[in-house]
Amino acid sequence: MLEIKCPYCGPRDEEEFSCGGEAHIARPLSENSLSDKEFADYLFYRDNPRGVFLERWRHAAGCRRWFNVARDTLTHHILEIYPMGAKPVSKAGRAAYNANWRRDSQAEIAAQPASQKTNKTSSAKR
Amino acid sequence: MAKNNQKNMTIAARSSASIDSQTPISFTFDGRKYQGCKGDTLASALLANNVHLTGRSFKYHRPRGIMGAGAEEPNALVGVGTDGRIEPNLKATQVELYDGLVAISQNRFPSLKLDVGEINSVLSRFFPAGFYYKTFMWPASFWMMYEHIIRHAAGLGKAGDDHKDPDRYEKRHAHFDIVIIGGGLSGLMAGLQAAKSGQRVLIAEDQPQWGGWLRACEDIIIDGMSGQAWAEQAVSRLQEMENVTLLSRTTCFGYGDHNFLTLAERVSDHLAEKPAHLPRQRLWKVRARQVILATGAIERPLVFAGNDLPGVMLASAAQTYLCQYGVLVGTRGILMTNNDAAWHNAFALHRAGCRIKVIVDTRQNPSPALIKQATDLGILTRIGSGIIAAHGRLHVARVEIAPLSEAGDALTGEPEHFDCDLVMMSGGMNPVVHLHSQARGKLKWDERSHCFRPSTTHEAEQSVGSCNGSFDAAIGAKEAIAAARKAIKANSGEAAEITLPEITATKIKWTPMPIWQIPTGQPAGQGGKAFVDFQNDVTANDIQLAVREGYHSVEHVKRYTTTGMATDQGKTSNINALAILARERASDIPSVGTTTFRMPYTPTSIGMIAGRDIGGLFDPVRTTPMDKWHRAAGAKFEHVGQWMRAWYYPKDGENIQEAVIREVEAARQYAGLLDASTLGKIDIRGRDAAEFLNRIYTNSWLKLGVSKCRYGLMCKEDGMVMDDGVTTRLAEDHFHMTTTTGGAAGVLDWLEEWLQTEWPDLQVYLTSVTEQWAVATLSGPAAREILKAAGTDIDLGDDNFSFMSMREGHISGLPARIYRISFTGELSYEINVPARYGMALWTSLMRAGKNFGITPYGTEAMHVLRAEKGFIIVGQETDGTVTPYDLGMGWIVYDKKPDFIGKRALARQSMGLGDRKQLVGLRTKDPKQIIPEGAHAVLDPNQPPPVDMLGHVTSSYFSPNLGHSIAMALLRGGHARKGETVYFPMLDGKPPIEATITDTNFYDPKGERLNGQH
Amino acid sequence: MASTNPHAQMPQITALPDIMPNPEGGAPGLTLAAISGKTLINLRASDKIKASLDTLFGTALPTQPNRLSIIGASRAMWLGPDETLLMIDEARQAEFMLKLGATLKDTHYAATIITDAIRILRLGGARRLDVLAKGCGLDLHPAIFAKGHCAQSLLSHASVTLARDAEDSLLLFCRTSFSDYVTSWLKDAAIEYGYRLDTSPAPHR
Ligand SMILES: [Zn+2]
Repeated sequence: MLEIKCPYCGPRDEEEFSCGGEAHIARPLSENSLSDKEFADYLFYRDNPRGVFLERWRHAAGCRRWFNVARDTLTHHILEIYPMGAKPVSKAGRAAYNANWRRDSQAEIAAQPASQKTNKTSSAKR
Repeated sequence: MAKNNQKNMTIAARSSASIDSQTPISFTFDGRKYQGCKGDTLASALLANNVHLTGRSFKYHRPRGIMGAGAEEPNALVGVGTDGRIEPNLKATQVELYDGLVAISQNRFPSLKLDVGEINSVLSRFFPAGFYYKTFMWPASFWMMYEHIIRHAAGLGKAGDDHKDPDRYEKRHAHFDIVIIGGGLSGLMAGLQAAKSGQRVLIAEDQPQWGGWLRACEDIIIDGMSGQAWAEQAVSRLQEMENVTLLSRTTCFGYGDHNFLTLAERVSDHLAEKPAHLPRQRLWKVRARQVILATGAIERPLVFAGNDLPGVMLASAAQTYLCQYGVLVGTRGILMTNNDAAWHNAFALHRAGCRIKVIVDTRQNPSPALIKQATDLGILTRIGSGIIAAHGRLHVARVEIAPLSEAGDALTGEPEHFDCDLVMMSGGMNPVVHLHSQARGKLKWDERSHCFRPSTTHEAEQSVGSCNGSFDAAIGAKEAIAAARKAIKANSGEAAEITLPEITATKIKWTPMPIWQIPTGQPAGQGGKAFVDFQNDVTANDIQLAVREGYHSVEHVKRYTTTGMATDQGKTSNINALAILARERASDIPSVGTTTFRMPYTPTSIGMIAGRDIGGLFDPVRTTPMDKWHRAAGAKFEHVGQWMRAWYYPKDGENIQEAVIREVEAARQYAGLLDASTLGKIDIRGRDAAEFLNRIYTNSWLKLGVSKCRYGLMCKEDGMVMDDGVTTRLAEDHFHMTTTTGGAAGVLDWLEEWLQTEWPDLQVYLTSVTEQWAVATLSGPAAREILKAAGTDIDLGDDNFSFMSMREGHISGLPARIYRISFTGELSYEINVPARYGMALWTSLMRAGKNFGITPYGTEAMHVLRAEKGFIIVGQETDGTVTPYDLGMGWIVYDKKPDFIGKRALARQSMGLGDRKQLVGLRTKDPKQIIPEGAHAVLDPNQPPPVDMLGHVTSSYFSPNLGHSIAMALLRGGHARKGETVYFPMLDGKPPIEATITDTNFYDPKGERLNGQH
Repeated sequence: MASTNPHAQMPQITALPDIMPNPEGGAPGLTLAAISGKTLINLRASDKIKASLDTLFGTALPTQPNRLSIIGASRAMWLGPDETLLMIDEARQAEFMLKLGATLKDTHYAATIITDAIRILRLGGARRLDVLAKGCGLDLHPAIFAKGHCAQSLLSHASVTLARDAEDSLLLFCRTSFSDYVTSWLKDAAIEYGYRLDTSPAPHR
């Protein structure tokens, strides 16, 4: 059983948490021109890497807050825990974020307000 | 075999510090009565009674005896207990004796000494390596032939009869700064260091007593005391410290992620009278900041023909029985060893009265001092030799000893024969690396000690002493202190100064000769079975065969031969198997690698894993404020999630159908009362509450007036229906949402997720108020009159209080919110009062409604009433693949809104295809026939398989108000099929049920009854 | 017809007596006392906004995670970064809510009375932490979960909030629908040590 450090409550047993799957899947804005196929990248496709994975967890039996976790799926080492809306700061976490195919997907671009379309690194609240 | 009458070891004559020979204990083994002493294990007591034959082997049913003295024992597996208390597969070496203990041997029929299964031994070609694999792979017709053999052979032991386990089992969590596994010299040393430094320490010892090998070791002196005396002193010092938890009889059987350890404490297994208030066993779920493993080492057997005969024993075990239990396990012994240490075991037994006839050392040049010592004691030595075979029927009686080549792989002379009743064997030591390995620590091969030792670690753990390959006591103690200091430092603690005790012991060179199989001088496959894995009956030959058949990977060989599997987990077999595999592959052991050691380290009872999560505490049972009334009224209940809901209220011997018909008719003709307290309720507040609901639900919420209610459907992001319910606007920025009973927690989490992760800019707060409100739903033409009779300050007239609105006021003097909404199609009020008044509300409504024919109805009647109206139940009409459109509820999807969850997904091309399964009604041709829920629809009942299925029935009831059965179904392209005939083939050979596809709104389609007009 | 679990008709929870003597003699290892006469308010508000209630409450509301504020008979438990559970005497409820509303007017907050949704138990006795440890993964060591600490966690299969507001006892909050389960679970867990359940509502200390 993992021990996960809730950013508020500190280390607690895994059974107090629920995992929300892959993090940083930005939701396309309602005004978008995505094809069904492009939208499927947001709706259906999820990564399952061997190694560092950025995922969302919730302290379900505690403070009920969502947060992000960078976890190595091979070793279960938790590299970093960081708030919703933020990006990883650890080297491995940053690498995993930047290397993700989503960064270039139309669905992610469609998640950014028009004013920010050129700046790929902002947005991505989830 | 030693004769039973040869009572060389009477009870009174036994003496050792661990045994209380003044307290005799009676026990039975296979129905025969024996006596042992307090402090005995079942194994030591059997040996004291000269009982060596304790079981039959797994595949060949060969006679087997006690080979070890602890957790490593592969042979002496027994069932202990009677009736519901039988526990199989216990190692006799770990079963503490108590008065009246009943033990039985395993894998034998009809008796141990006469076993018909032994014939398997003769027909052993039927059980080669990979027997199971080959059988499964062979043509199917062969399966029948082998099945009955496998049914008998597969699995060890036999669980208790079909009785309820009478014992209690406990579980508990615990947190420690430093957890030390093993209470021998190094474990206690680490414990002293950690404890004196103020750390919260747990030390767990598998055995009843502390000290480990110190208790069996004669020659060790620590600070002027015997090893055992030192251990006792150390433990009593630790016991005095508040920051120390000492657990004996406790096995750490699992080491999981993030230093999470599971330990099994045997609380009352060893007691003849088990106190009722104490659990039998306790599962410790421990989170440790640092772990120190001091789990010791296990002696390796040597692989030679006949090495599994009773009377062949590990040298260390023979010494343990002597020193710890006062049992001399033979009278005429032979030792075969590849190392120095075992010589001292032989000397100890010899001095105690077991005549050691020969010491056989496979090495060419053991220490001259040892040879001299042996010669002085009158013991013959055979250097550079090996036992090439042991003989005997039920006990070893004779061995053949022959000189070996320097590499130990060939015979260089003729064998000599020696009579004996004991063969001690020692193939070197294996550090117990199981927990380190479970914790994903890596191992490295030690070229000097010829064993695997821990190398890199994955968790915050360290191995010390013998389990780290440091077999020398003084080195182990030093290592333990250093490890404890490192752990203290890692915990940001300060290590107290403690002095290393002065340890003197016989100097031993821990450099065994790598010899993995004693040659027989005969071709492979002949010359008798030489066992590698005793418990799984795997011979050296089996491993050779596996390699010949192309299994080269260690993980493949493990599964093909079954070596190192099951309860044994390779404790004695692992290295010998790897070494033989390496030899067959012409490789070396490090490059062959190791298999993964799995948890549990030793077998663990299911009862302990379950703990007290059984019976009434298996899962929480949630009850409503009116629960006691339903029980008193004789209601039958059903589980809805964790809730217990009144299902129906049978009267005077009614069955469910009769009761439900009565309840359904009453609700339409007079009034029915339903306990709806279990509905999920969420209080939603904030400036953006309406906007939030607008995004959550598919329909429009911005313009809902204050005090008005609206039905809403929420979808997941994929457009599939997730939940439904009525939400009411209490104020401009304040809503009261209801959810389905089963969906309450999930919906709250869902809403929180969107607020926290996607729309943190929305000012909305959510609070669960499910239990704050008790809800009674009063439904039927007389509902208004009953409310008046109960007394209310609310004007119930349609003008003031219209359908889909809410009023606050009092009912029978109780503060209430009344929602005029309807799930029955009748005039209906959902009356909410603070939960403390739930019972008062219910009883006053029942009283007020008495003259109006008020009838309490349960969930079953509720289902029929809503189905008559074609109202869906999420989870019954939906299964996560159904959209609002599929339900024929396109009217509730307001796609002009800029956004709502599921909007984009519902616009996908595939959502618009006509062949989606859609919700329709069904009228059976025979109005009395009820289609079973789940029945599949076909257009042509006579089509040959594979049958083209249209879909399935989701709800189906007999409607007393309509006088015919009604059903709903999800059928492919159903909306376009109205009027068509479909068939429901039945499994029981009855003719298919014929039905017509209809609308789903069966009753009062115009909704006139909502106002109580009829 | 809906299928159902045959066990649904069986009495669900072991009927244990309200008093189980300590098998080893002496006082029962666990005491349970139901607490009534309290109002519970679930307060959702940011630290900044809720700080304006400090005067009304009587002392600063907790802003540090898993901490408890104690003043007289009132308690305030940190539940989340913008969620606090207030416990006050029921007699104060009307006035308190009125003043709360006035103080927080025009701010983003939600104050919801959930008195009837929650059952409060006071757990005492020398073995109370051993009993809790049987179903709760928190580190309840007195030096770690010290007076002034609170935490939400699981007790076996139920969500609970624990608040250590005294040296020799603590408060347990659970949802009322789970209270039969939680009470039975606690009694069953305390068989080893003996227990005493006071069903008569005890005034809060
Ligand atoms: Zn938390």
